[in-house]
Amino acid sequence: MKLLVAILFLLTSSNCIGEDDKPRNCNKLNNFFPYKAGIVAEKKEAYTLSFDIFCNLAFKGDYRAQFKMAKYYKSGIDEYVEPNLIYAYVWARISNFHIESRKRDNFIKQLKTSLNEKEKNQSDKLFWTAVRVIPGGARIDMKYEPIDLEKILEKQNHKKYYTGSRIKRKTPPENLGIIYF
Amino acid sequence: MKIWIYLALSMTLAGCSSKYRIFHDSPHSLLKLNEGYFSFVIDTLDALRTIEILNVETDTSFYVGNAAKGYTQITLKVPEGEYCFIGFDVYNLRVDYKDKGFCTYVEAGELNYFTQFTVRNPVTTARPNFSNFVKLLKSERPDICKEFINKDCSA
Repeated sequence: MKLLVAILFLLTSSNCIGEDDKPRNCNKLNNFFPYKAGIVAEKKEAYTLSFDIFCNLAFKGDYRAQFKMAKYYKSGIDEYVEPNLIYAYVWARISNFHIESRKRDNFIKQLKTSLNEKEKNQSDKLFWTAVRVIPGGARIDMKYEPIDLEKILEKQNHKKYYTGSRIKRKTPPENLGIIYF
Repeated sequence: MKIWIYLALSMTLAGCSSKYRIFHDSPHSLLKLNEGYFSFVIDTLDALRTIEILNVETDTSFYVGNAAKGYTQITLKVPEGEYCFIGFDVYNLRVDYKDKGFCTYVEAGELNYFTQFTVRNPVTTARPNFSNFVKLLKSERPDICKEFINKDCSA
């Protein structure tokens, strides 16, 4: 009996370790944040937090958050997200797949002209892989409980990030490069 | 005298319900910088009156008029922010949803399609049906449909 309990414990704990080590599509947030929280963070110029909120919602199928991801990948975020036109193009197409809009359509057309043939082929492949596994067409709004963003930002600022020989920079999630489910 | 009072009252009520709502014959006007369209569809077996929307940002509610039996698309032109569908009148009853009802965030410069509400006694369900919304919008407001949706929006 004891042996069985020990085996069960080992199995459970090893599973937990595996979960933590697993690379993520998005950086994990401690709370659930609805779309409005991402907007509030963006208005307060807390772009990394806003990116993380939108990223989590985008992978859950919120098409507005998916479009925000496209915009962030187009412009990039200093020391957090490198501009990546392929990701921007793919996210924009995912966001416009279920719920069409002229604004998003124009954005897609504009991005398409900035990609070369190789990038277009690459993004087409990525799009068809992603659209099969990432849901879309949803609006993830919950009753918005005012979030104390100041507190969250303060917590974020207390984390130390080293550069130079002891490089430990803020890193964005893997995102569309590899999709983990 | 009574006629004048009734007339004034009905004009005031009509004004209240049409302040935000875009009807099929409302004049076309451009969105202001902080404004967006907030759209949803109501599918009901009974005519609904005095549909009430809450503006969460200002904590004030307003009425957007009625929805006839069947499918009705409702498009409102509102300032950016969070809005909730909180209730309506049916026959001689008032229905108020619990916990502020159904809420979403309306972005400026966009047509924000929320969902399709299927109103049945006693439960209302919300499930998006975008193609049905486009069908209704293009028959009533092909101009808005063309400007914001980019599908085949000719009526």
